[in-house]
Amino acid sequence: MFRILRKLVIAGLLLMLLPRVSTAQGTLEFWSFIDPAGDSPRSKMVAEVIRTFEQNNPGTKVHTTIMAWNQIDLALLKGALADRVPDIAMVNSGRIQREITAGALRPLDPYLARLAASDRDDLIIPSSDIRDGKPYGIPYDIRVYGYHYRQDLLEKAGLKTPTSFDELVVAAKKMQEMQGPGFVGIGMGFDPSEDGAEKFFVPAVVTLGGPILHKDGTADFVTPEAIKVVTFLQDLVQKDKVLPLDVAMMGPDQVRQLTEAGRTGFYFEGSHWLLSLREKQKPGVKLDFMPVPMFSGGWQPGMIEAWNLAIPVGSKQPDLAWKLIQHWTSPGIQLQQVEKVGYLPVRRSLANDPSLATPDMAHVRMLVKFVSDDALKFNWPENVAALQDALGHAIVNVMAGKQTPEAALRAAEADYNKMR
Amino acid sequence: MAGADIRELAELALLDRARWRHLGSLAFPYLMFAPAFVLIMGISVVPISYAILQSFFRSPTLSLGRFVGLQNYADYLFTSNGIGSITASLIFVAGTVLIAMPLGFALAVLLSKPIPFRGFLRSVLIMPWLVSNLVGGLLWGWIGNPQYGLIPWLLAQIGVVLPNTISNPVGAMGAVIVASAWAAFPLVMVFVLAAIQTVPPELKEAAQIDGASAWQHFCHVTFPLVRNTTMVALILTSLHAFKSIDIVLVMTGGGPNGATETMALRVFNEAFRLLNLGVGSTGAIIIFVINILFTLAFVRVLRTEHGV
Amino acid sequence: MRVRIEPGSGRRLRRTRRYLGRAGQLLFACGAVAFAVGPILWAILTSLKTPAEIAEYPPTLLPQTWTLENYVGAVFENAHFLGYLWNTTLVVVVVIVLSLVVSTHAAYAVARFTFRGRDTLMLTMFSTIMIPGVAIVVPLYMLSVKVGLYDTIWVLILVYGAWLTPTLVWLLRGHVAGIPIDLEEAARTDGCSRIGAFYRITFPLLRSGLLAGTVLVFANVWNEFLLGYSLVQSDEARIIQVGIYSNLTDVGVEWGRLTAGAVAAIVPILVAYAFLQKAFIQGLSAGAVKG
Repeated sequence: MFRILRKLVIAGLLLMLLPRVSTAQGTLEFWSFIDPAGDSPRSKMVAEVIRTFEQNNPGTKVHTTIMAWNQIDLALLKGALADRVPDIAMVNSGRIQREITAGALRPLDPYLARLAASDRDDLIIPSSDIRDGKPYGIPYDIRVYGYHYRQDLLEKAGLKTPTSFDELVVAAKKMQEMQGPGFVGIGMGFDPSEDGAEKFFVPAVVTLGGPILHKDGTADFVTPEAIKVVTFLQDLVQKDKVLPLDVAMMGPDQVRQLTEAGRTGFYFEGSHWLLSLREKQKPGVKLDFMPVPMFSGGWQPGMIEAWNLAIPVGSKQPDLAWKLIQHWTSPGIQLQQVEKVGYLPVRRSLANDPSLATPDMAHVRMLVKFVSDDALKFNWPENVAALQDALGHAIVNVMAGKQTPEAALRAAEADYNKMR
Repeated sequence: MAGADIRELAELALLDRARWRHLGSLAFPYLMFAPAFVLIMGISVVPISYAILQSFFRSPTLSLGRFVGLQNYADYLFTSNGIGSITASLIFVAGTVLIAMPLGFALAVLLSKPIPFRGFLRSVLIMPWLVSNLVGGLLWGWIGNPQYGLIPWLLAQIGVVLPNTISNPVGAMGAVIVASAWAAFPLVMVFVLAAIQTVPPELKEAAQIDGASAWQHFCHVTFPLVRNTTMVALILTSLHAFKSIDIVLVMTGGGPNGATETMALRVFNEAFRLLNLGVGSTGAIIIFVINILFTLAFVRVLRTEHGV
Repeated sequence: MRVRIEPGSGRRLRRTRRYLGRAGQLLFACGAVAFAVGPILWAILTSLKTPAEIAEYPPTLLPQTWTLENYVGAVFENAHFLGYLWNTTLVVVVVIVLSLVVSTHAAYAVARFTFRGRDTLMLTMFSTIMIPGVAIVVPLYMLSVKVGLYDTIWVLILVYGAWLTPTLVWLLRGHVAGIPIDLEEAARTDGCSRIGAFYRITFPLLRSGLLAGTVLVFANVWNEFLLGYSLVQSDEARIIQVGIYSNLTDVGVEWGRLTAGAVAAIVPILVAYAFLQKAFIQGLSAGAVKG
């Protein structure tokens, strides 16, 4: 028994002493939440980007480390202390401010300054990526939040695409009638640990003119605008009954399972899911995408989320990293992404590209305008997670009838002020 | 003269060696114990001491921050879901124990008898323990999902409507307790079974000859002998339930309005999602203290009943 | 004792009661098996369905079309997954060796000798079981960064080893106490050193305790999530449960792949347990009662 144990231990020790992946010259360490070896369309796209990059830059290799998307920014912060940072990483626009404050990322204006002015202006860089006039991340994937809806059911009901919240509710009710029990009119998940408050609630309130935060950064939640939006959500659950309470408490991923099974009329999510959702539907089902409407009619300014490429301060190959950023945001790659994965292009000029003139891509042409307008004027705080947490709990409490809107928002204010 | 010197030297040398051997024998147990001690000091004791220290500071990032005394404790208890998380933990642990202990115990008794398929049953009934809590939580979360899960659908077919495991606090707590008890009962079963098997067969035979009923036999012969082990199983099960986050994290994420947000989950959220490390450590220390009190209480009960 | 010898009715009554008792036992056993195995069976069935079928509502029980595509995608053609399995196996094996070696020495010291501070040391050791993982994760992270072991397999090995040692010491103490000291004394009078006696006489007799300990370590390390998640970030050192969780959050929930991965993750530990089952229960009994 001893001998076997000894052999195992020695084998184990030897294996562990094997050299780690060499960071030789020309190897780019890249943190991604998309696995290039996977077989989803977006995985294949990432693989293609890396492949063509390595081709165009002979002698370079990209080494990808995969991490869960909600873990990357924490890993960046932790890694900065342990000097284990990559050369380039995917960073979410909702979390990038935290990293900028921690001094984990390099400002990218020196690189941008080297570009031609037209090239620079063509890139859509959301305000959330910018601090003191300097961008810290360049998007490779931009999406807008809105509703994936059953176009076929709307047509069957003889309704046109809703342009206000009232019309939205009417359409949802009609669809529920038509489809019977088990069908969810409006699928929106507000699990506080996810991002429902961040992606739906805050933009809706800001569009109405509600401030959300005071100038000094403390919470200003108890405003008529916020109360209006919360009451609206509460009505969806309790009065109009187009959103079951348990669905409202799920996370967006769980609600998506319903949409994939064809059981939602309107599903609130990012535009990037449209193509993949279309693929999962049964024949005859038509899914389309619309931005979030306003109470008064018309579209809200888009809630933009971007996945950026950022260069950590500790990066050993910043110039090479910038090359990858240029490559990924090049028109050729961007067009490919739009067609294969359904992302919006990060270049304004591409909205008018002839290859995107098909009816399938109608939503892209419409949404790029939204995105490039970047009209949602809100100064996202550093600790977006705390904002999401406080407001998320308030929303769920109100929807469940546990608290009145004012009481819930007041409690959320206290919580947020403590947490931030 | 030389001979005497040599003999004296030799005697002195022997004395020294004896003294060394005596010292060596004194040091021996300490040396044997040392590796375990060093390992545990480094990995458990030092970090928990640091965590205790950190609970008195406000740490915005990963550094220590500024001293705030008991503010973190107050923050933990009186914001978000402080008291609620303590209640949730207590209910969660109580529920797990109340299901897993009797179930495990009864199965152990059953499996100690010469019933058919005993070997098969023993292997099969251990399976929840071989599955990680994470996977178990995912499976139960899916099976019990009110919108697309198997169980609510099956029950609906026969007209039974369960409390909604997502939007109903009772339903959600019930769901996580079921998952947790599912994962916990095999260990109880194995512990008690092991203890039952050490009961000398003569005692069992003697009781049978006396004509005692099965129940009396159990009460007066088996149970006292396995009580120790049962207590240990109880303590381990409750400690594990207090500490665990896997199940609650993937099943409800804290449940409707924090109904299933146990202390451990709250600590996890504060430390990892909100990067509020001071409050995070604080909650963890509170859990630690409760665990200690709990165990002491149990051990005290055990001792007094033994008359020790 | 009163023995009622009444032919006929007495015997029939007893037989009926026995049959009822047996039926009750059978029902109970069936119920328990359904409870224990149900979710796992469901996972296995799901892993063999096509993703389209998995999304169906009402859910189907048996797969309409049996397919192995989930296993191909999640396990066989997934280099990451196999890497995670390998890492976890490595960690488990080394932790088994490390913790058993350390624990047997400590258990021997504690069982055979009464030295000053013994009770305090034991109490400290056992009280570390009560420390919640979440409490020490951040300090451990910082410690591991300082020592340079962050994001390596070694940090996991050391932490798991330390975590499991108290339980193993408790288990093995009973075993050591159960070995008669005369055997060791006999060896000593034959000229064996004290430590030699330990290695040559006591240690081999601890076999069932060691095997029980192996099972405990295996189950606890194989299924561990929190520390694997917090102390390791790169792919190369990632363990299996973290791998399953990462897959979960990346693409939302792809149940086919997830269940395939989860089932594949159960196989090694199931196999190990199948081999060690008897020894496990035996080993627990010797340690449990005396402890």
